[in-house]
Amino acid sequence: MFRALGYGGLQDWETVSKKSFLQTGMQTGFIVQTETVATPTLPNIGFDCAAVLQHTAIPIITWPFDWSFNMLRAAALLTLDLLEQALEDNAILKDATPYNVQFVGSCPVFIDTSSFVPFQPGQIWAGYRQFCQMFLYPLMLQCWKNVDFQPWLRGSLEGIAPQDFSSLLGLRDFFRRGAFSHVWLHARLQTPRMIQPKVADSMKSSGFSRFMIVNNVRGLRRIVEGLSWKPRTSAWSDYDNTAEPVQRDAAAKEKFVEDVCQSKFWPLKTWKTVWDLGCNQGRYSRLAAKYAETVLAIDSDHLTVDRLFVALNAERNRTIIPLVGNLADPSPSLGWRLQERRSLEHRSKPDLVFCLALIHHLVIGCNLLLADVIDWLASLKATVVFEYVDRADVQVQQLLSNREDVFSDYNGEAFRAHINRAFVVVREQSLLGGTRTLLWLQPKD
Amino acid sequence: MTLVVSTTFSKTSLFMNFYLTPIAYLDPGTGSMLLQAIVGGSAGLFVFVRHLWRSFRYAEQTKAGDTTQETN
Repeated sequence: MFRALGYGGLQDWETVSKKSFLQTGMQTGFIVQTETVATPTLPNIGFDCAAVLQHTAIPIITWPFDWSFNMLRAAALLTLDLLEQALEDNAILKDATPYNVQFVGSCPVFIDTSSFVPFQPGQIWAGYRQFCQMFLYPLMLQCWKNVDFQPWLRGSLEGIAPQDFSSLLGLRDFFRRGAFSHVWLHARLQTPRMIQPKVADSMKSSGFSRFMIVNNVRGLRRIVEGLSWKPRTSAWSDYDNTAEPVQRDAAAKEKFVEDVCQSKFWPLKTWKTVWDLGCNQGRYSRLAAKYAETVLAIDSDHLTVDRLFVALNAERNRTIIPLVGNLADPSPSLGWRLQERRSLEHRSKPDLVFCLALIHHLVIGCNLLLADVIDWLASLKATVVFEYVDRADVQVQQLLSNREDVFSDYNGEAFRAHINRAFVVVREQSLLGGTRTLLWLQPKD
Repeated sequence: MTLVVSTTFSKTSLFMNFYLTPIAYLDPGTGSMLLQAIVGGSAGLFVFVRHLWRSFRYAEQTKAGDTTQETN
């Protein structure tokens, strides 16, 4: 991963890179390892490039609108901690966006080293509003209102504006920590009512100091630390522990999945990227992690993913990245020319995909065509471990119980035809109940 | 004493009135800058008030300048 610097950026980097907080951050892994490329081939990118920095590669770039609550919270705390350390070392973060943080497994890493610049006396923290919009309000929204923040961050790359968030709060919320100053007052002050244009200069000459930024950062840290989101249950949070098919088939499925994982020159970690679609509590992601460099554990249930992240983070797991994602409503490419924040398929190419007991939800629950889902899986050009759930299965019957059955394409015969068109079946195994089949699939070509 | 309170009150009212008068074409980020002084502790509040006082004076001077120009 390379970063091009202009002349101003190079000057800042030369000052900041010698500071102890940056060196310590790199040693502890909280800041991405960065070196100046000695004799770079300067890229032609439309501005005068003075130097090129090389960062240690991050396995997969993820976006905040695919993170869970505690992932965003971990990124916020890292940002505040690094900012406080930087301020003590006479430097500052010029912005505060979660896009500056990435996850190596479940460990947050700050990747935008050029966001650190030398501190100028009297300077104001320019990233404060961005921190509120991108971190603080989404976390408050989730914690105070139990409203998922991901669609809000996906809907606006600048996050939630103070005026918008202030409008969402009720009377009770204004008694919560941070609501009056960081939300209500912030929103009031956004309306352009000041007559003096050079506010930064005036603040500086009025005696604004670094100490005040440190106070603000510490206050924000206390607020973020105090935000927690712990709903008791969700649609899928207890499924792995209670559902009958999971209990009955778990051992057979684990053996099958492990056989596929081991098929590639074990014990070398030869699977580069595994996608576990509909990962739930991450049972098979954990299995795959023994044989893979990176595992993306994706599920649409926010609470389940968040619990998985908390568990992995406590273990300092550096292989499994949990993500909140819905295949029927995936995050698209966003930003300038749709290239700034690209979709998952542009950022990650799996070589192994788990699609276990998911197909009936996609076809019957989300109204997707069976043939289309299988074509999409084949387009990934990866080995697939697939669990087909037949119409006779109790779970499928439950899905069909309250809706008109317009899913005539969902049957064993059609499934076989579609699979044989796109894949070679390496191995298959019926599970105990007789309504579920595991398949090990290799894409044709 | 009454006079002092009354003067302070009238100044404050004027101050707040001026402060809440909408002015277009300003960077909306300026509000966030000001807020940083307020949330920066008691010393920050002092900076904020000092800044407001300067803004008030600045506005008064600008207004006075405009009036002089109009008279001329």
